[in-house]
Amino acid sequence: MQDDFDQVLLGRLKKEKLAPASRWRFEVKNYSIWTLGAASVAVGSVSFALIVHLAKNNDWEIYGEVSDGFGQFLLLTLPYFWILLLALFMSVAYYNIRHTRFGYRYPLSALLAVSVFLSFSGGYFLYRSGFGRLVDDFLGERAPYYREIMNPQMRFWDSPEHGRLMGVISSSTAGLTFLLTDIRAKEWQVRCGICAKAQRVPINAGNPVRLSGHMIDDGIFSADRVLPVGTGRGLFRGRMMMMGGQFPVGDADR
Amino acid sequence: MEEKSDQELVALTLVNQDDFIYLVDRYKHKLARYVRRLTNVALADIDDILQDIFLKIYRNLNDYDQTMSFSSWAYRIAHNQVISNYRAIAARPQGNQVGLEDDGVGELVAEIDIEREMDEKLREQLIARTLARLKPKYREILVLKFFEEKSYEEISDITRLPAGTVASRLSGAKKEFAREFKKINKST
Repeated sequence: MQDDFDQVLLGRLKKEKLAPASRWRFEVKNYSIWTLGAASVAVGSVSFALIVHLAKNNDWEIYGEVSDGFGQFLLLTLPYFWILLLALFMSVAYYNIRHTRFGYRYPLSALLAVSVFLSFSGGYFLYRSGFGRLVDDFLGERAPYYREIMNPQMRFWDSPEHGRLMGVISSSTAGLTFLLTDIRAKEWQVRCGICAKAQRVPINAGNPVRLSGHMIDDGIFSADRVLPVGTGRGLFRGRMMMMGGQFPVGDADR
Repeated sequence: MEEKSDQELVALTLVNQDDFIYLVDRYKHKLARYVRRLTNVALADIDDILQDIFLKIYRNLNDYDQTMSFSSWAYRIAHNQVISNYRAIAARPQGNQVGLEDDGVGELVAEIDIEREMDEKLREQLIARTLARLKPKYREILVLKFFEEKSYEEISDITRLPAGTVASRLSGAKKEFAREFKKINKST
């Protein structure tokens, strides 16, 4: 090392007019990391609330009736989008906590546990307070690709050839038959023989419903069971408005 | 100024640039040795690297958190500088081996299962060559532990790794070192 190292260095500081970066810059950086971490936990919590909401309304008790087995039912109705979003934002939360001033001192497992705990507990709280349903309603009404990506139950119940149909009752006719407009605005004549007594939802025009049974012919469906719509309610509101109808009255608005 | 703590010198430097010289004076030899041990760079190039490190220290003085030792913080900046400039540093003309220069060797030998009945000079050369051949992450942890004599907590602060990872990396580094040492010893 040169003998005049100190003086050369000091000379360079003066010549280049260098000064310590101001404290607020570091504070902003530090607060940004915390804010981003908190935002990630919040998004993770909303995702978890949606996962619980979708899981709670997934008709586990009748999977045998509407699918070829539990495995198929699970694969077709798992909310992959929200699970991926939850995993992504838990990772972002972990990354941010890790990059706080002393975040590196804690082991990966502890930081992951904190990230998981915060997202899960926050998500469960949001679910319990009804926020999961609120977000689901909102997204159903406004979000593009909601049916295709965000709520797999919509695809699952939009499958008349597999005995699952979903839509809005457009008019009840006499006896055990009513008309239903499905999610693609196609009209169906629904025969509701044995289901009439066991149904959990009144068959009134404007009610969104799901039906399990079998397709008799194109446009004709025989229902064994009529179920209320638990998730994706906003989607039906949008459809009804597009069709020039009124908001459905009944389960969807409860 | 000699009796002043690092924290006091940092505070003084933030008021008067000229006082930075006392911090530089306190750490320049330690950091020069550390960089040399890590990079295997020729002595003539050390000053350039060291200047960059001290400029960074000076520019970031307001980011220094006094709950951590200044020494660990300064070493961390040196560590980051070496990592971020690793390619440039590696491309410079190098000495033959990692610069050990002193102690540490004895402690390393005591902790690692390598041949002890060996000419001291030869053993030192072999150790330096072995260190130079290790992966940077292993070399650094051995250098910090045995040559810079840092505690696990200090190494954790310097490398920004949890203490548990420091311990497991050190264990891996010792095994790797013993393996490489035997290989080099056989071939000589």
